[in-house]
Amino acid sequence: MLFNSLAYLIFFPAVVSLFFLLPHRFRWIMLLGASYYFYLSWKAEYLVLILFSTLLSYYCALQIEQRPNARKAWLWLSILGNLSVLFFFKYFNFLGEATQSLLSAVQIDIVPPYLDFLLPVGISFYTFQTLSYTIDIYRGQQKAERHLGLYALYVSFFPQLVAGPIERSGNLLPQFKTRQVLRYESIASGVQQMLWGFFKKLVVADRLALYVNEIYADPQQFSGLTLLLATILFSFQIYCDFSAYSDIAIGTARCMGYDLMENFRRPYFARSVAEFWRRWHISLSTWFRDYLYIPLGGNRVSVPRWYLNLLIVFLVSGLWHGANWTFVFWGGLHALYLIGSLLVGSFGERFSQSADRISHPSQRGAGRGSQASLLRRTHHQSTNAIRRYGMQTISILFTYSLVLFAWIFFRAETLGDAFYVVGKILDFSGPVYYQGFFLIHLVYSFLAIAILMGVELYQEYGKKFTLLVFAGRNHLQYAMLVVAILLLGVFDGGQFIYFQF
Amino acid sequence: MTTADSHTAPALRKLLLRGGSFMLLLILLDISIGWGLKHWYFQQQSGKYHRISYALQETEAEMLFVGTSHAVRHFIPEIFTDSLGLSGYNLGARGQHLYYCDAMLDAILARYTPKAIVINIDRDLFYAEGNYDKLSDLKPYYWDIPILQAHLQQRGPFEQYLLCSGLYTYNSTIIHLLRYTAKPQPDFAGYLPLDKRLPEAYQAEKADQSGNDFVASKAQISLLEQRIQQAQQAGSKVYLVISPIVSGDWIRNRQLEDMAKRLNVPFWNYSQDQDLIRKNLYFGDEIHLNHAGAQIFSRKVAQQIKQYTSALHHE
Repeated sequence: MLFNSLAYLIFFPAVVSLFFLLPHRFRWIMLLGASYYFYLSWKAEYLVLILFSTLLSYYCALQIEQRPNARKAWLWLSILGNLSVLFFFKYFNFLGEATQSLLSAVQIDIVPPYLDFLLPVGISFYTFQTLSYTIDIYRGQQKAERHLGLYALYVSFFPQLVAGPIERSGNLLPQFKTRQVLRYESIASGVQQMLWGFFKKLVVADRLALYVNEIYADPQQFSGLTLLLATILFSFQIYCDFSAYSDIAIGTARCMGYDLMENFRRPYFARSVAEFWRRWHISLSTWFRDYLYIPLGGNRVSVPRWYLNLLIVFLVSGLWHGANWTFVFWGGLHALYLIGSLLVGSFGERFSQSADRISHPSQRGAGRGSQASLLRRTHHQSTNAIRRYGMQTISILFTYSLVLFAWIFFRAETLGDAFYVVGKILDFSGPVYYQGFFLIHLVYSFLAIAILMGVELYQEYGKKFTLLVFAGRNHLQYAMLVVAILLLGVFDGGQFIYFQF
Repeated sequence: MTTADSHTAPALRKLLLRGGSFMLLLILLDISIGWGLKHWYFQQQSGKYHRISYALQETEAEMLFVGTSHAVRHFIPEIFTDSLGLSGYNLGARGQHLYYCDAMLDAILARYTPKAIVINIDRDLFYAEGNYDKLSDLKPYYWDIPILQAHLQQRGPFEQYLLCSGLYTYNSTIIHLLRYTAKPQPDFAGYLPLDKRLPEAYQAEKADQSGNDFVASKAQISLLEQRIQQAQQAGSKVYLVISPIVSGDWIRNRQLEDMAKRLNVPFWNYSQDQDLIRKNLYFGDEIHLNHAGAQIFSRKVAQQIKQYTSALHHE
């Protein structure tokens, strides 16, 4: 069941109403049933995989706690068991093809077996959730959950089951045990966030997809400027598509009183690639930080090892997104950005410190207290502010350019296509493709991006923008958002991009 | 009563009151904005929506031209009128596919019977099997033209309920409405001339001369066949035409050729027409004739229809 389907518009209020109508002790049963039904509506057979993953991690966690001598073995059983399912369904064919390519380079021809089935929806997300649970138990950071039903609900909680946020047991499980009370503010705020998510998905992402998909389906047919435009549009499409899912998930959960973690924080306002990763897919970034980067030693190792750790984390992150070299390259590129920024950063810091030392003597030389010095100080402050905002803008644009470049590899079907697009974009050849009805889509696209960025700019630099507060005088604003969705949205039931991961 | 319970009743009351008033506001906005858009839509004097409205509700042209962008760019009704003495209207639509053409023909045939229908056959007509999204252009007519309801309901099980919303009905129309209100489009009985030409230096790709069938599913061909039969039974003469593209690709589909034979429908393939292919002068882009090319093409098709009908009379 898709969030952006009418079926969900019936399912959601029905579940929330039932949730508050039922006594607390029965709510988990209803939520678990609803979550499994939500998942079953894709492909019933794959429910077996969730059940397997749930039972394995549940049992292993209990064993880790109860058998101190064998806790490591139980941890590895859980990790390998869950990862092997993920590997089998997601990476088996990829590994086969990679092996075939490798061997053909040394004149050995093999035909690897090919498994022809669909990737189970959300497998990467719930597998990571179960892994974090057992690792937390092993580390002693969490107590193993005795209640199988509640644990199963943690793994399969429908709002975030298929595309995150990847929740931690420490955050979600205690909330399931707390009796949630119907609160107007929670429902208002939840619906508000859901509506913003629907706007991002239907008005922005799905509209941009119409142009982007056309261009990237056959990049050889289009000019460099067209490919550049399509890549820029894709950067907004992927952001809106994915963050919309998180918004709807968080909003849905909040209506029932549950707080899921924030997953996106206006990533295109990041002033460095490191900051981008603190704003983009936060639940995955923090997962990799806690369960891969830090165990590898993080930054508390030699500098070359630190860089290697970053490279490993980002390559694995790329592979997590998809079984394709394009994703691995995308991850590697981000690792290189980070390593590059670390190398340049230390030099940049020394440079700015020396620049400060040059500018300070003249200030010290100015007489204190005189009107002239006050004017000079005011002038100096305003010049500094302009310089600061200028530098911020340049940093944001530079970071966006780096991220944009990497998106080419994320979007392209093959590495060959990606390199072709890179080569073509760099020659800035025209003209821009806007034949026929694509011109109209482009107009709608720019309008949608302008609204999105206007809101995000206000959120980033203005006062907290409670977009359309579901209360009294702001009814009209909220209703206008629905009007915008109905009037400008694309209603073809397009899937969320991250479902494929 | 627990503290939690004591919170629930006021919260529920607040939710119902504010939620209810919000829904009421939303309904009012939907009705009022929807009404405004409907008025604006049906007041259009030119452009895409005017052409759809005119075709569905007003035209009584004796000859209709149906198809995708190739149809709308390639058939000049005026030339057919001059040559055959039949008034004409071009129903072709850019970016459209078979389902839209089928729905248009169904609605028009229910209203009156044109003497002749020329259907332009191309790859785009049979593109995206099972994708009924593009029928959205016909949403504003759902309640006024009942025969379209079955077509539009193929978009999804909830379509009829969604179409109770004025906003949804006029979804994604606003830019077109603004565009043609600000800059009315000249009307040539539905025909849209392409007033540009490919650069002389443009080198068309090597022609695909394999003669392989372009993709058209059995279901799509069957749908077209049923509509042609309906038109024939009503008394319309149907012609199928394949237009040329600049590269000179041999565009064909044997199943469609067989269908045409079965139904005794003339099927003329101009994809190899030496007067037009590989002549940049007559093309506005790689796949569409410009106005000069459309004039030549329309005269050729009109002449062929003339010859065909006079041959029939002699028989």
